[in-house]
Amino acid sequence: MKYFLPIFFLSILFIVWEYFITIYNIPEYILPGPLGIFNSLIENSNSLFSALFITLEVTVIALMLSAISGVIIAIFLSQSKFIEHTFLPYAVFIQVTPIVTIAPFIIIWINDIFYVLVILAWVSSVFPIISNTLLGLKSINKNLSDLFIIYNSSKYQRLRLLSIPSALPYFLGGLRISGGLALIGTVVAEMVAGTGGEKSGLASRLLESTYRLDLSNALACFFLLSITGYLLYSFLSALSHLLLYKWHESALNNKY
Amino acid sequence: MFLKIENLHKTFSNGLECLTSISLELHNNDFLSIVGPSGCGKSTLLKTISNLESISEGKITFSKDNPNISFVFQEPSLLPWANVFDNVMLPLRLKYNILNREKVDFFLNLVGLYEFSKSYPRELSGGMKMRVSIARALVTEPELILFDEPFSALDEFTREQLNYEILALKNETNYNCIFVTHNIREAVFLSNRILLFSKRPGTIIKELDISFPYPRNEILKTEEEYNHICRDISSSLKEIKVN
Ligand SMILES: Nc1ncnc2c1ncn2[C@@H]1O[C@H](COP(=O)(O)OP(=O)(O)O)[C@@H](O)[C@H]1O
Ligand SMILES: [Mg+2]
Repeated sequence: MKYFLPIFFLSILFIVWEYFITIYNIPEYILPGPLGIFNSLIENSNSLFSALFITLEVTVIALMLSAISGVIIAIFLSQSKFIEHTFLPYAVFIQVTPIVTIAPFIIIWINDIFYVLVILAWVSSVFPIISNTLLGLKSINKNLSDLFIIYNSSKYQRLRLLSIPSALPYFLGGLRISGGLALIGTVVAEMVAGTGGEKSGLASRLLESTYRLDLSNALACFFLLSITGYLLYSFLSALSHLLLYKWHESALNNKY
Repeated sequence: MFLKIENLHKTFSNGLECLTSISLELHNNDFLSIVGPSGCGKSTLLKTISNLESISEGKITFSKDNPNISFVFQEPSLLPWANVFDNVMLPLRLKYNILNREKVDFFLNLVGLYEFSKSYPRELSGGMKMRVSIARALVTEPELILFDEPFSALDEFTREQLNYEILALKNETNYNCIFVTHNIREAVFLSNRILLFSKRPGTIIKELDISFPYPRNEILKTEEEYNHICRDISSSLKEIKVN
C-alpha cells in the first residue's frame, strides 16, 4: 500500500503524457513521450550507464572528501571564537560563489578533467557539512561539558566521547544536503568543463544529445540523474537512521 | 573537617554580584543542605567548590589535596548515545583511564538498575535516569558529592523514594555531601545541617542542626518535631522573600 499510491500516480502521469503526445502529434525532437524515452534508455543502456558511473564516481569521491574535510575544518573552527571569526568567512565565500565562475580557473590550473570535476563538486558540497558540524560542536550540553571538566578529561577524550557524538546528528543532516549538492556540482561542472568523448559523464551526454536534437536520449539522461539524486538522498537518510536510531530523538519513530 | 570555605565572594565578569561573605565548614560524614530563593547563587557556590567557576575573593580549602568530587545535576545529564553501563563507566574512563566493569556492575546493582545496563537513556523513566546519574556520581567513590536540586523535576512519589535510597547509599558508601534543594521537607529529612541563603547576593543567614539520628525512615515525617522544624524554616524563608 505504501508503494501502490506513488506508482499508481506515476503511471497515470505517464499515460496522460503519452496520450497528449499522440493526440497533438508532437514531434520527438520537441517532446518525446515516456515510451520513447524508455526505448532510448534501453537502446543506449550501455553507454548511458557507463556515463552514469562516471558521474556517480565523481559525486561520491567529492562527497567523501567534503565529509572528511568538512569535519576537520569544523573542528578547527570550533577551537576558538577568534579562529571562527577569522576563517569562517572563507568557507562562506566558497559557498556563495557560483561554481561556474570558479570553474575556468580550475580548468586552467589543473589538467586532468576528472580532478577538475571532483574539485568543483567538492566546492559545491562542503559548506553544509562545515556549518552543520560547527553548530553541533557548539551545542554541547553544558552539564555534560562540566562533567568532563570535573573528571579531568583529556582533550582527546572530550573530542571523541563528547564533541563528536554530540555533533553527529548535525553532521548527518549536513551530509544529506551535501549529497544532493555534490551531484548538482558534478553535473554543472561537467557542463561547464565540457567533457566529451568516451569518458564523459551523464550531464555532458545530456548536453550533447540536445545538440543532436535527440531529446529522448537527453531526457533519459535527465531521468537517470534525478533518480540517482533521489537514491543518493535515500541512501544518506538510511545511513543517518542506522547511526542514530538507538538514541536520537529524530529517529524515535523508526522512520526515515 | 573535610572542607572549609572562608569569606568567599563571587562577582561575575559582567559585574553581577552573586555570592558574598560565605564561610562554612563541612565535616566528615556531613549531609549539608542548602535552601534559599532561586537565583541566590546556590548553583554557583557548588560550581566554585568543584572548580568549575573561579572565586573573586576568599579561600576554599580541602583537608586533602586533589579531593575526589562528583556532581549530580538537576537534569540526569546522561550521554544519550551511550547505554546505562557506559554512562556509569564514563567517570572511570575520564579520570583514571580504566574500564573497571565489576565496579560499574556493583554500583548499578546498588541503585537497582543492573538489568538495565544495556538500555539507552531515552528508554528509561525520569527516576531511573536520575538513579543512573547517582550511580555515575558514586562510581569514582568520591569523598564529596555535590547535588544541585537533583530531584526537583521528579514527581513526589519518585522523589521520596530517591530520598530513602540516597540515605541508604550514604550509609553504605560514606561520602560527604552538599545538597541544594528548594524542598524544605526534603532538606530536613535528609540532612544533619541546613544552611538558609539570602536573596542575591547570596549569603548564609541561618544555620540549623537537625539532630534526628540516622538511619531515618518515613516514620520521622509523622513526628511533631520534624513538622515543627519544617514550618520554622518555611516561615524564615518567607521573611527572606519579603525583605
Ligand atoms: N556565568 C554567569 N555569568 C553571569 N551571571 C551568571 C552566570 N551564572 C549564573 N549567573 C547569575 O547568577 C545568579 C545566581 O545563579 P545560580 O547560582 O544559578 O542561582 P541558584 O542556583 O541559586 O538558582 C543568577 O542571577 C544567574 O543569572
Ligand atoms: Mg540552581
